[in-house]
Amino acid sequence: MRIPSGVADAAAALRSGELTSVGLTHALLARIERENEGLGAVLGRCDEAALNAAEAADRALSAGTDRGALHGIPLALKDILATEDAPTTGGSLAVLPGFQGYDSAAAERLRSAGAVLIAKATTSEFACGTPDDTKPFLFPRNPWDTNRWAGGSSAGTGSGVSAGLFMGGVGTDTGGSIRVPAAFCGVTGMKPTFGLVSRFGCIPLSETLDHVGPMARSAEDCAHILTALAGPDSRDTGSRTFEHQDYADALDPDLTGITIGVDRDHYRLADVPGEVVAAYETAASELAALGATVVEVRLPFFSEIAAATTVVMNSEPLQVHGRNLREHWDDYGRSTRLRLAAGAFYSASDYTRAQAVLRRGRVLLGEFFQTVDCVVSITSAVAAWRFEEIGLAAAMKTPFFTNRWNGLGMPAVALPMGFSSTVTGSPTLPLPLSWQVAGPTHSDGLLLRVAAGYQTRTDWHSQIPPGFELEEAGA
Amino acid sequence: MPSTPVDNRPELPAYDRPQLPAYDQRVVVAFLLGEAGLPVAEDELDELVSVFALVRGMTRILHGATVTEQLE
Repeated sequence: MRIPSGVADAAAALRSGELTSVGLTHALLARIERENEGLGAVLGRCDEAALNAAEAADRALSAGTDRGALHGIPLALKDILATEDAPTTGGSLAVLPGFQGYDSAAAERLRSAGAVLIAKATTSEFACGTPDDTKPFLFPRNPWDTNRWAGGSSAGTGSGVSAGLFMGGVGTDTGGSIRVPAAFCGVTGMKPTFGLVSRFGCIPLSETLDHVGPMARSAEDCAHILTALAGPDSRDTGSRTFEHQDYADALDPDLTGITIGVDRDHYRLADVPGEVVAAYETAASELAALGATVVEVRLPFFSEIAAATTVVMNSEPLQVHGRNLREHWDDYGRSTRLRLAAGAFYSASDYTRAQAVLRRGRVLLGEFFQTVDCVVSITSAVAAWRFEEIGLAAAMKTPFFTNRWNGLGMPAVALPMGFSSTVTGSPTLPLPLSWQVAGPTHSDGLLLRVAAGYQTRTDWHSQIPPGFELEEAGA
Repeated sequence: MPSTPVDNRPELPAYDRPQLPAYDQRVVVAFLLGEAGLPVAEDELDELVSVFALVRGMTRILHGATVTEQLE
């Protein structure tokens, strides 16, 4: 049978009678069974509950009850989001109490939209560590080259979507943890506006920077997932009330009337390889063809906002993990415990200064977005690392251009823009490259529209890694 | 009432500020981790000393002149 490429494709196949939710769920469970040993994308399976949900979805659809685009669609949740039918490990032996036996808001909302939660996807340990061969967890491997990392921290969601193990999923993003694995694995991922998606039932890393958001092959699929996820929730102190909208309804590839800023400072200031810059410039040149007005911009306080976000991102996790870390030091992976411990190096003065910079940054960026509707930049200066290239200090210095949007609380969508054929000058397997579209608070729909518009003119997002073709014998 | 404001503030003396002695980063790092109650091993301390240098470099950007002008 044919495995659909993603949410919208599967939704159409379910309604045309080409597929049933039960058939698709069975096929994907078999695919996970076959591929996961080599990919490490899935930490926990929910076979029985998933098949029951799929059966119920098929029955409802036959009876004329259609809950929308996610009805009967198999999705995965990053394993720091609680689910009542599977354990939530956070990818760690040092399990934090309080996240077992109930559904996170993300799980509740997806189930309510009719989705079939098929798996708990691999996460970097507590959304901040790196693969550790002294711990009993599979390494999350990149389907484009399994000797390379899927990225962090929503590694399994990115890897599994790319390899067609599920139709889409949910990740979390504190400094780039949705957008970096999306970039490494060649899929689309979105960090929504702060407060748009509830974090209830999500193991926290940073109270002021954590975001929950969609990952899928396309921006259209992300729009469907975000529509289900978004909404206020009094159980999350960061939750805000926004006008509910169907983000997929707002997609329109005609970008006439939209002004898009192209940022070049970020790659001029960092050591970005020429082929990444070339792919970015080619991608940016497509925007005018979609009708947008394109202007070059300079983002205010580029370095300061990124530094402030890093200070907050490295300080707050120690508050979350301090006690557990003292009592279970050796249960944490080495990179995780050292990164968390580094939170002790920041003073109260550093932290309050960082928050002041971010407050000021929100005002300045608010003014900046009076002149353009959104801005584009490169997501990551590097393609997926080999496992041996990952290091704590290297990760702190590597130019991902993602974290400032967490500090600002503003939305950003990362999407594929081509492939790298060389890494540090040496020929390699083709590895995905990514750019991102970011905008002011509440611009989530606009960003998805721009991203989806770009994806009508390019097919980078629909490329399937060799060896993971979307055909299943029998099934 | 004088027609123009009179500034009666005393002139501030110019201080010749002494330089603090150079500090041993390893001792500082060990102190901070110890205060946080974290049971760091010797080899881990070595790695964290280099991370400490990165961290302090990052925070210096925050306390830089340009951003200070905007904040104060």
